Amino acid sequence: MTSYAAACRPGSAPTAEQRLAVHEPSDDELMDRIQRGDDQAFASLLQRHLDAVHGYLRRLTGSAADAEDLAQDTFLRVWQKAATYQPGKVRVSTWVHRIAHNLAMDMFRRRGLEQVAGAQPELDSLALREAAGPDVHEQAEAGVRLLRALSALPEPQRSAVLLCQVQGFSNREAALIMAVSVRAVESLIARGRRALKRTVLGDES
Amino acid sequence: MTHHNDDTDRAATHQDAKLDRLLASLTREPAPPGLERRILDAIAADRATRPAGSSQKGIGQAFTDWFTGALWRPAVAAVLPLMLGFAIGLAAPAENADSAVDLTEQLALLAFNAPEEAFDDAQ
Repeated sequence: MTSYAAACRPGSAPTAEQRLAVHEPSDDELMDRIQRGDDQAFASLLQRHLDAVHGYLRRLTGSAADAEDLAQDTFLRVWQKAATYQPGKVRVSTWVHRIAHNLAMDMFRRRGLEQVAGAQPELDSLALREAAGPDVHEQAEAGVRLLRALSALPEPQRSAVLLCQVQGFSNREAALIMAVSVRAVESLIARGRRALKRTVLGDES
Repeated sequence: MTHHNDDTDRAATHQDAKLDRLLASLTREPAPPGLERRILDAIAADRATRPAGSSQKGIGQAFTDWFTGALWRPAVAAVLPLMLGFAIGLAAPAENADSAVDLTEQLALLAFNAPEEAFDDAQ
């Protein structure tokens, strides 16, 4: 953790930002406190990771209701299984996403994969970052096409593309989350991107 | 031919960059407003129904974590019984004449006989 001595120049009072940086506990510290039953630490961890986990589940399932239920189950599992987290082996965000991914896969299996593969994303409420410039309309249309194309991808390709290209995980972390090899992730991403380019950008190469 | 390849490569790079921009435009959408509260309530309910400390690290789990934490730890754990044996061996009091069992008695014990029978057999 950053110390005051490192964060502040001698003779100057620490700014609010520096104070926050100094006292902001790391994910591992929060997990350590959660393992000792600290509710407050859990609330902090939840606040830190809820948006990312919910966003991943939303795009993976294409359903707002499913994403909410799965996100709730994920964090309940985080609380219950906190003792099994081993700091230093994986990042907390990787561990939490792995739980979320496994729960989503269980749901897919229960409902039957073919039903999920045909599901259409709820595009009206899926947020796309506002595009600036004259081609706003064109970009928004491309965005909608992208969401449709993502939901049409086979589940492993969709997961790999979402984890690495949207959630920002490395290939190795995505492999851990999906319980496959790194080479499998690379191959899934390549195939997923090819399909997306073909559908969204009309690329025939 | 080379010129054609260059154009193809350039087009592919352009398409890749365009797809990257589109994927990056997918925002990290904030979770619905009530979800955080709902999760915290679910945790509180779970806590009420489960015995206190059940989500905390048990002794077994703590030992497993310690054991698998570094390579030297299993080695130490393996050597520990040996060290314990040495310690017990060194701590045991040396035998003296008073406490030593008589040779005849030892033979009787080994033969599962009464001492007098063992003595007779020996004769």
